[in-house]
Amino acid sequence: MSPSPIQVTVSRIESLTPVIKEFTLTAQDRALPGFSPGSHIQLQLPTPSRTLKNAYSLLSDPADLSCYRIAVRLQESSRGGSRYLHERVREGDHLQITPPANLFAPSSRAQHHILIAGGIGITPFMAYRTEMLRQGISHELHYAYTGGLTHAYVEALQPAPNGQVTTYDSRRGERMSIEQILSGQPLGAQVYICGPERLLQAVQQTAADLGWPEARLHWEAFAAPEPGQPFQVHLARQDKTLAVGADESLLEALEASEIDLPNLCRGGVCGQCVTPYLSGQVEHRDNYLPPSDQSRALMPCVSRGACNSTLVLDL
Amino acid sequence: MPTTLKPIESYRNDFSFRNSPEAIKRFPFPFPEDQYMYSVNIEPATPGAPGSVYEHWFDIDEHYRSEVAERAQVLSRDPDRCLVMPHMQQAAWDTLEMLMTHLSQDYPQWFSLQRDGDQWLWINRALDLQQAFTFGDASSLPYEPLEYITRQIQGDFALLDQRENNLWMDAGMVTGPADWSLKFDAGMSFTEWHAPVPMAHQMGVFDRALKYLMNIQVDHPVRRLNWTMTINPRLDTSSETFHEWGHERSSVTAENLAKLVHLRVELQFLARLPRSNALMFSIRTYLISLEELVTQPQWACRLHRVLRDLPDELADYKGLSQYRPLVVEWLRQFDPEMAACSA
Amino acid sequence: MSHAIPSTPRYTTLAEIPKAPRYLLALQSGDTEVARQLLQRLPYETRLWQPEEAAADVSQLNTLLQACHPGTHLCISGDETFIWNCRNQAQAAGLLDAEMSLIKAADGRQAYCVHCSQLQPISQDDEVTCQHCGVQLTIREHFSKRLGAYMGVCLNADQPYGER
Repeated sequence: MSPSPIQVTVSRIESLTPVIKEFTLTAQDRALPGFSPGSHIQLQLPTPSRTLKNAYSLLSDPADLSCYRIAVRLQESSRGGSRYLHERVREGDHLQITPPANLFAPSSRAQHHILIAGGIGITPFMAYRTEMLRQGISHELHYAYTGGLTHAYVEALQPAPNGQVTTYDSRRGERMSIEQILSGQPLGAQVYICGPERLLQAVQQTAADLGWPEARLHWEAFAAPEPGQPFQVHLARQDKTLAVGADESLLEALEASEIDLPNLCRGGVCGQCVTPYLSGQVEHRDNYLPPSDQSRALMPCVSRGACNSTLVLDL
Repeated sequence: MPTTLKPIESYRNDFSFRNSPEAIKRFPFPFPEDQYMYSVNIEPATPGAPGSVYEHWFDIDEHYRSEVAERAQVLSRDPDRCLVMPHMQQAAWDTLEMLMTHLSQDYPQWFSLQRDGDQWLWINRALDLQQAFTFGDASSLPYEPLEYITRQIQGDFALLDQRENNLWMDAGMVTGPADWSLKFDAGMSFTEWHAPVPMAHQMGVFDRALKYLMNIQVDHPVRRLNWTMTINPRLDTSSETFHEWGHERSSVTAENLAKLVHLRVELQFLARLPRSNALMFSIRTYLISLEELVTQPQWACRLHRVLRDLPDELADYKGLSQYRPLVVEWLRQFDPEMAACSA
Repeated sequence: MSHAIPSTPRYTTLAEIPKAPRYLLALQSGDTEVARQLLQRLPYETRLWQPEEAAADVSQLNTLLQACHPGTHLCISGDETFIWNCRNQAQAAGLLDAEMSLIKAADGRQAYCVHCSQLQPISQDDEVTCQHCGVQLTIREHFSKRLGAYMGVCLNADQPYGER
């Protein structure tokens, strides 16, 4: 059930910092679908070597469907998606996106929302804040960045009576104390984290130390799949063998051979692309499959085979 | 052929509800095979054939005025059949927007919507209503938004909040359910409110369905059919009124069953509500008497086989054990007993 | 009684209470074996709420909850009516189900009459007459946490009001 893509025009590109650009996407042939805070879209990027599909959070006002806005950080170690957006895409260009999906929605039951952002992880919280300020929902935002490099939207984030903002500029030696943030919170508090893996782990660790159950924590875990070793994959039912390159995911290699699997996050969390395998070594990199299922299924969006054995899929 | 809205007929007391030949032809007969068993029979709700019940997201048929009048009657006696928990306010507005948008696009002869920022004008020509209001301001409407719009549409609605990897029934307008109670089930998770359904839990049906439903995306709704049987064309077969209608099941005789016994089909439609991320679960109920149903010989034949072979546990749950033998016996005359029914 | 279904409440044993930095204990009666064991097992500094009357005003629990922070684990021990009243009060204050242990220490429970929407205390019998509307009810295993009650539905639709 892959939703049909939406054609958009890049109507505006703005450099927010030396490494972050904001892209405004406007619909061409139909109205843009509505979305809730925390939603993301997949952007199809026709790079010279192959078409990449990268997921980006929508940061614009959910009440404004005249355009979507996303912000992209140039990743030095990336597989080319962010570089393509930064260096090749121009205003007026046409791109394809998927409709919005939400794997990071605010909990309707929380009475106070603690938003913790690291660098480009601020993007989903831009939409959160717009909606929470409009509805008068109690929240606080903690935003860590590197001044002069990843300080996107710092000026735009004005504190409000029901929405404190605290910023932490690492250039000035300002450090976020997660323990201080989480201590003394009311019983109705829930935490949302979007940022680098080490920030997520630090919040998880502190929360666990303070006795917070996991159900109080929400995080945006997806990111572009990490490169790995090249490997071979054999499709048992179709009797077909494919080579997966070092900087492409198994899902991308399957799609390049016109085998379309359902997918939402392309980052090992949503569980849509789960695929059974028959033999071979698997490097499981997802956050979805329980260990009990890892001996027979894998998530091809992030997980990989080993370079010295052939992975045999039940496809 | 354009639908003509009938004058008001009743779903209670004298039960004047009848289907026209056109309504019979478009009835969503739910059995694709001669046997029935649970399955996760969910499919993308792509637009169906013109004139069919699947043509639009929200089907308006000849019974529109009757169903609206029936809902008003239920609510006048039991206003709590519409329930919206405080955290579901936005989902209620989402629902109002989705219904007004689709009705005015799909049935411009009856409905129109004019939007100027948050100043909206809604016109319902079928009921001769006109309402100017401020979107997002409940005080500008005569009822809370979910109640306002669902008083003008056919079918029940449950709004499901999505959190903690589950769906929670935290709002709804349910005046014509097949033996359940929104007031009792409100606040329950997907697993909890399906708890009374026999067999399906063990089959893993609900686990699979839940995963599927939580991944429904904006503008990509899904649908499925469900069915049971009802004595008389009674829409309000709620748990609340069971003590008033339950006894009718023992009044079925071989002589009256063709008029009394109805196949009750629910066209369930699930759509993501864009702004709230809640899920709309609409249940559009179609009733057809056996007398009307057997005008379609292939349906009569198939219903005979389905009812004859239905597991007892399911027949009990659907509340048709008491009169099933009589109905099966009567339907047998329509079964030519060839290999398969579908002529 | 009929068999449990997925909405039938499950209660925990003392051994299943998870480790937490702080505990709050809501105790219906100190005069049970379960209560004695609980008081022994939980740390000395655990805060205790024990209502004086049998028909407890659980809103008093709210005052204690408002002073708590995440990391607090609430143990509730009493009959089913008491447990769900406290649980709903705690949930409204922001506590999650993962942060509560529900320990059944007595048999008292409630039924919700689906016909007149009223609650009433019931025994372990699964047939009862509604005190409010007079309908003879069968008590199902279908349970609403929100209402803290089992579903009561007309036992015999051919004779809803019994012999009267």
